[in-house]
Amino acid sequence: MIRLEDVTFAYQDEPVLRGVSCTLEDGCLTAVIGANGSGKSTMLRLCAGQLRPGSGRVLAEGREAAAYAPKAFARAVAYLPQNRPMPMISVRSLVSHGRFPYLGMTRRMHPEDEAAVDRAMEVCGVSALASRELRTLSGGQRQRAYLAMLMAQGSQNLLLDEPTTYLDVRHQLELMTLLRQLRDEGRCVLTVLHDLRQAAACDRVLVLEQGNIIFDGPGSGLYGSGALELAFGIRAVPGAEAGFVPVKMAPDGI
Amino acid sequence: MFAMLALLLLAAALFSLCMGASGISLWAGLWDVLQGVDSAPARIILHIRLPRTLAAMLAGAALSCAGVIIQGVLSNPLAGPNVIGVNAGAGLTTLLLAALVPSAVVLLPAAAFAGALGASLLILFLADRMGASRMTVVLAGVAISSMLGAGSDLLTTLNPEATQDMSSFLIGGFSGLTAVRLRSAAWYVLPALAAAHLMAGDLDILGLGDEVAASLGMHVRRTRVLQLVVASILAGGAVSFAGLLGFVGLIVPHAMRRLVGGEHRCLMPVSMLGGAALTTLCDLLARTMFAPYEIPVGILLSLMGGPFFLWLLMYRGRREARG
Repeated sequence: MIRLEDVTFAYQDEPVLRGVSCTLEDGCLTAVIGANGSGKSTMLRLCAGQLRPGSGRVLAEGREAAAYAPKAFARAVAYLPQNRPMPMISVRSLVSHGRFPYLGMTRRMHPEDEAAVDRAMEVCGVSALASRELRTLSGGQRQRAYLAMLMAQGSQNLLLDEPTTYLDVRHQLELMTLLRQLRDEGRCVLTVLHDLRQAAACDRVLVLEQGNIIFDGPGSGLYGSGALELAFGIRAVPGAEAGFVPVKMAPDGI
Repeated sequence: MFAMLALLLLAAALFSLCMGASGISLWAGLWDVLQGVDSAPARIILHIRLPRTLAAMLAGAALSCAGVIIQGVLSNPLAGPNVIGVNAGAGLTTLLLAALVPSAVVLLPAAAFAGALGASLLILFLADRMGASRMTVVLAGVAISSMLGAGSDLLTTLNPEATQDMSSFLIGGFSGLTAVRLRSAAWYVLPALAAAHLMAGDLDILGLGDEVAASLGMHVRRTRVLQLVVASILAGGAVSFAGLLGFVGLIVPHAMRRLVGGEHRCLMPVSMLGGAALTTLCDLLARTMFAPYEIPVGILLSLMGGPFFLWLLMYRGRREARG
């Protein structure tokens, strides 16, 4: 469970989050959507303990990130950023790195670590790719490998920043299915998404607009809420839930 | 691969012991050494070739491992101890000590270490400050390297007497090797080699990117600095007795990465062996090709290593072009 209490954050003097409060429950898949620069990634980084809030508190399992030792925090909260370098390592090694928070000074893997790695690879469907080099995989396979690493980390709370970017529709759907599986295991899953249809299919959606949560409710209520008009300047076409039309143009015409 | 490189190193070391300017029989010499007979061949092997072989192995191993670490820490395959000024820093402080306190031979590795560490921390600081794209860090390193190199040149120009025996130092080589220098450096370098191996796995975590490494519970900054301290001891130690041997630290990690992939737990020992073997072989060639004259091994390493490196790059280019 992750809880944000009136959290603000600013880069230099530019406010990004302006008093965000919400509680992310276990066993719930929550999507965060919003226009570029609305504060989605910042909110995720705050939850991941990578940034400290300007004011307010971020609690993971009831404690602030600063109260944890780094590895203990990693065992509670796992985070997959959007941009990552591409190391020259195999899938199995990548997934094994998910066990880092459990290893001692010698970095030796124990049988239970190996078992966790095996299981994570199986669930994410990358067991057959175990010995393949990361850079030889397709985008979808690679994303599943990273998700397996996240799973091997065994944290109760999972944070993902745009995990479906660059994936084709099929792989996007597969990835969302995996996230639902993790939710069914009772984990708290929070993901930034761009695709509104996928967001609407989540248990809960948060819409961010200029650093404020302007919608917080079940995914099924997203289209009729009016939040999309505020956040993106679009609205759902009545009766055709999957289609959108622009309702106003931004000054620069985009 | 590990066994093959170990064999290669063993062969290189044996050749290095039995070949040289004076044509002595290795077996006769070795036999005398083992018997404790104080013959001329025994003395040549024990007091000239053995220290020299050990020095070549140690310098090659240390510089290669330093290269692996620096490339890993900066996530930059273009980096290397000679590229980003770590060697140059070690060289400058070594020359400075030699010029100011010529008698302090035992302190040379420490001085070299201080210079190497100063240079690498400066790079790290700049990398942090500039938000550093890979290219910027390398460019900054090249600038620092040439500044420190100019400092060394200035020192040798202004004070030619004190730094006279240092001319081979600037090129890099083992002709001016003394047992004292080797021994005092070994005290630093051997533990650092062990530490480099123990900490190699952490380079893989750093390779996942700062955000992922931090989210896995790693102290990213602390790990970086610690790794660079080890790399500085390695590079500084090597420079203190072998001079500014460039290139080994850049090309060996690269070549080995081609052979065994990028996982550091494997790359580190393989690079250590490969670097030791390459340097030993180059030193052997350097002193036998034009015997009894000898070319500094630094020249040979660049002459041979340069084309080899270009070939590697072209080979990779072709392979990547093919997909």
